[in-house]
Amino acid sequence: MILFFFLFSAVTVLSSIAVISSRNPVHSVFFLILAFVNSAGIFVLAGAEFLAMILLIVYVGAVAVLFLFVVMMLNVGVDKIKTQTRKYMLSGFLVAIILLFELIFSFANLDIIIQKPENNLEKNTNTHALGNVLYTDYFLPFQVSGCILLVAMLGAIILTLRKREGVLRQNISEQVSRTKEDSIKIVKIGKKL
Amino acid sequence: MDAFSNLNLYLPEIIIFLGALISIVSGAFFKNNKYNKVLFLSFMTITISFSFILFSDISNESSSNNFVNTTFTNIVKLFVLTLAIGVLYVSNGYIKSNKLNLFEYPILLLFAVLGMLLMISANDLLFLYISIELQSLSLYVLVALNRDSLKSSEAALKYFILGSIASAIILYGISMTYSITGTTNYNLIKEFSFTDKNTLIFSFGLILILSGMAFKLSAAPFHMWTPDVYEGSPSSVTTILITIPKVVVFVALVKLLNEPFFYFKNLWQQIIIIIIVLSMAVGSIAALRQENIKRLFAYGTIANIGYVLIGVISNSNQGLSSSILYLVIYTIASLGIFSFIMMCRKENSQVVHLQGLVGLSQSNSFAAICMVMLLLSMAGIPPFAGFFAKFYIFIAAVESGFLSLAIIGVIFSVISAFYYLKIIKIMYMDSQEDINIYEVDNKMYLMLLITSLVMLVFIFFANDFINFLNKLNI
Amino acid sequence: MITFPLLSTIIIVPLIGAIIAFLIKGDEANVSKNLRELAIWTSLVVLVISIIILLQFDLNSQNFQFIEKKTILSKFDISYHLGVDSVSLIFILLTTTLFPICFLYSKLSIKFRTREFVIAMLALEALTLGVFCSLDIVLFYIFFESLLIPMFLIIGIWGGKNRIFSSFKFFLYTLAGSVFFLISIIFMAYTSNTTSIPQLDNYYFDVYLQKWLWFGMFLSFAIKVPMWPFHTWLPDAHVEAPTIGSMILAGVLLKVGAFAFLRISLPILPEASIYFSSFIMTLSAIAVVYTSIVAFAQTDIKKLIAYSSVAHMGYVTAGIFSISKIGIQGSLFQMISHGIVSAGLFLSIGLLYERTKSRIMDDYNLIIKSMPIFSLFFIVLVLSSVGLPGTSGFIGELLVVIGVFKNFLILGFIISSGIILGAVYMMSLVRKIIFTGSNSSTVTELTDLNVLEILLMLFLVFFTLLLGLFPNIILNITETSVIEILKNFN
Repeated sequence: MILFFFLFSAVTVLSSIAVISSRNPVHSVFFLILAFVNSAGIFVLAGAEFLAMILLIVYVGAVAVLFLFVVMMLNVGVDKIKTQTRKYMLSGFLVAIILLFELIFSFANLDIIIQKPENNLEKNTNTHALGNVLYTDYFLPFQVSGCILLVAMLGAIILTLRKREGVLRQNISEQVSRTKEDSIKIVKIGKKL
Repeated sequence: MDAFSNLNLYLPEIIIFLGALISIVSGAFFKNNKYNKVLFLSFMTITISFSFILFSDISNESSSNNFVNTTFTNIVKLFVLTLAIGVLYVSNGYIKSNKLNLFEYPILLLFAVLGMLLMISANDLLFLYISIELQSLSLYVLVALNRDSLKSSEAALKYFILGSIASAIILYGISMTYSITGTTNYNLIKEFSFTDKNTLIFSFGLILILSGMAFKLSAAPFHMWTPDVYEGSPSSVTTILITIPKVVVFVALVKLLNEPFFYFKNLWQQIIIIIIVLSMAVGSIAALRQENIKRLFAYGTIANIGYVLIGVISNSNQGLSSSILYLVIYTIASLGIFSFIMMCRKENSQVVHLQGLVGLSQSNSFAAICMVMLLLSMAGIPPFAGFFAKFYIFIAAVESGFLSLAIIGVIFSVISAFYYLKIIKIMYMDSQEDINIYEVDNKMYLMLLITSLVMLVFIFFANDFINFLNKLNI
Repeated sequence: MITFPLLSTIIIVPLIGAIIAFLIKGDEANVSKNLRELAIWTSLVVLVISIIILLQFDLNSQNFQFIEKKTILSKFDISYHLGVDSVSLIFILLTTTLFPICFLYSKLSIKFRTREFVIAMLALEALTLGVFCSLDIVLFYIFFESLLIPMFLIIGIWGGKNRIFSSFKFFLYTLAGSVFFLISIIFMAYTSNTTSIPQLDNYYFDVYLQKWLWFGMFLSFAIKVPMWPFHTWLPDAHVEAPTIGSMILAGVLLKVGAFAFLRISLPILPEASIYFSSFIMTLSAIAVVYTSIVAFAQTDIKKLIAYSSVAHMGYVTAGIFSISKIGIQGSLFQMISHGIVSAGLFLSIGLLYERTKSRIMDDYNLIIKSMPIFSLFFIVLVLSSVGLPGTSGFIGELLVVIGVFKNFLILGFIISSGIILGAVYMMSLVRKIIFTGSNSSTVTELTDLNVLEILLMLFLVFFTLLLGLFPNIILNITETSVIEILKNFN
């Protein structure tokens, strides 16, 4: 167990570093996927198989693939951005080191690491337990997070949907609802012709 | 089945939520004049929610696991809703004249308000996080509302990225706390921290959460985003950013510090003192060089947040009530100042630079007088309301034994008086070669008038108001 | 005692005048005419009310009179607490007398933005009277600080070339001083749990604390007075301010700082006052000598008189901190005298400036020929300013010097030498502009004063001589209150 834990976490950390350091954005996305998969492994070790599966399906299956799609479509010049970020490298590095040491200190002094969940998992499955909490105690936060998704959707629409003037587009309902009366005007032409 | 047993608890929020949903659907179906109709719906929604809180026994204190309503939270909610109505009311003209009248604008504001109301009552770290996210996400979109402006997009991107990092830091802090206590509930954490000895990792979580909250409050040293975002976003959105979230995040922060982290007072007191001094220094000194009106007030906000936080470290009910007093006066004055900024249009474009205000005292003398009152109030000159706010803050500092903070505070308040005076100078004393005549928007004018009157006559109601605040059990 | 709130009335009447001024509508010329009349009548009404106060005032009572009290904030029982003793009474009278004179003069000088000017001046009057009346330390601060706003606008809008710099300097300097005063107030209220001045008079503060509180207030008051190292805003403000602004600044506002020393520092913090008295005395001595020398070097007449004001205020602070009855009486007298004389001098310069648009000494010569009446008044005022016996200036300086000599021999000697220095620069001013014909400058044909101007000058000169010949008018009034101020000094 412990061996696997360190294996997964080491790969997660290394691939996270690779995400931000690799030159090719496509590689970055692949490393990201690797990081996700390994964190899913850690979840499995912790006994949270539902979360592990969700992570795989949502992040690896959907999000990362979308990333890949965007990266391949847009062809972003990462090199240029990288040279700019190098300026802030030192300060960022410093903050990271400080954080790391703080973490090490605080975890070194920790008495208990693992708090066993109170639910008796032998009887219920992981999914069952989650559902029990989500729809009772955490019902409100759960609904609010739905709200967040709604706002995100709304935002995406506002920021991208544009009504352009002067663009010809087909309006089917308008086409179908046209009648003879409002589209054809019969004009009598003089009999002399 | 806790969530359903007491639906009344969440009714104001549910009303806002339903109102927002109805607005979305109807906005999509209205054929023409969408903005006005949706605006009306939003007004209705907020009013109904407001009257619900007002008429259903404010002093009713009820709670569930992760949601607590007290008299205090109810009153803050009322204030937030009032501010929201005020902002919607003044920004109407601005939105239209700058062609930003997307019907989503009031809807997003509704969602932001929903997040804020939840945040005020949150009694659970996870719930706090979710409501912060709801609020922030709506605000990110609002900042980006002016799609055609490069500045607006840049501001939105900055705000989004930095804001997400801040949220992530808060979440990380929460997970630290959870890893020790095994719970995210405020009361349980408080009980736990009283007995447990694992203080190091606990304080680490506290520091992370505190930094994230300081970011949301735009307190130094987490203030970097403020000037850019305030400058770039449309003025009506800046009006929102500069007023409502400050109140709400402050209330959430106070709750956070006094409930789950109550026993870490020695730690967070030190952190907040550093934040206070830095905010006052950065805010007052950096504002001196600003030429852009909105940037100037962005720095002004940072400085003001420093003063507000002084009441927090005193950690007495009186200290907190003086902070709330300061916040209330500050938000009202900001509302007035920003309705003035939105009003300043000439030749079909907004005035962005201070120099654009030259000769205002001649062309719009009444608006100039109102503005002078607001600015002097911000600078803390008696007899205006701002003086009482600062006075009470300094009393709180002295009473809790932080005399040095009070002295630093007064020094920076003199420095910040300089740039408020600079605006008065530009309006009144600079040579008037070209007299700018501004288009007058009645709604903004009215708001300007009301807010400046509040600043002026506050002296007569100060006692009652402060006693009222003191009586609240914050 | 009468129940009608006279003190509130003298504060509110100018404010009502200001509101009416705000509402006056009509065409340009009519409005400015009406505004001036409004201002004159308002200030005359205030003058009449203040005379009523004088008549009803009980000279033998040691207590504050005409007391009004209403709570503003229940914290520390901060209240709207007004009351006068004879010290504040004479300042109120000085204020209410000088303002009508200023308004009568302003009929001739303000050319633009009359409305704002009238509003600012009336607000200034109300707030100054508020400072002199208030018996609550927070209320005092509110009035003391609000004074800045109208004064800032008066210097900044109607001032001369360098007006913006001067107004900023004035505002920020004074504000910087005042905020330390605020901290002292808060600490005082926190310790004693009251903000009422009569109650604080009876409260004993720890000596160590007294020194700190005293020092915090000292900065604020010293800047307002202004005392020597803090005086640099004054010449700037005076040079740039319009004539009326200067008259009010020198005549009334400079007294506010000294009044604050008398009302707050001395009675509330007696030990600290004694402790710091030699310090103040030294500063005052430096002020007298140094500013006299600086004044001698000036070519700008207005700046010269501004520096002479600093020197005169040096006598005032020296008199106050001699902590003797005679010294304080002297400094009170000196303040009243200086209020009248300096207002008169600034008025004279304003009259000259209006005719020639110049404040430089070399531009004037032989004024005695073209403006004999003016010269007469001017010379009397200058003589009073240098302290010639028979004029009001003499009495004040004499009493102050006597008071100082009692405790501080050497410093008293230095301060009295200032009288001679004062005579040197003031008389050389008279010689240069009135009696000698300068060779370089063009001969200017100046018209002499008109009737109104003569009346105004006559009024001021009359008071100077009256007080010089019958000093007991003031000394009798103030005696009981001065004794009351000194009661905490064994």
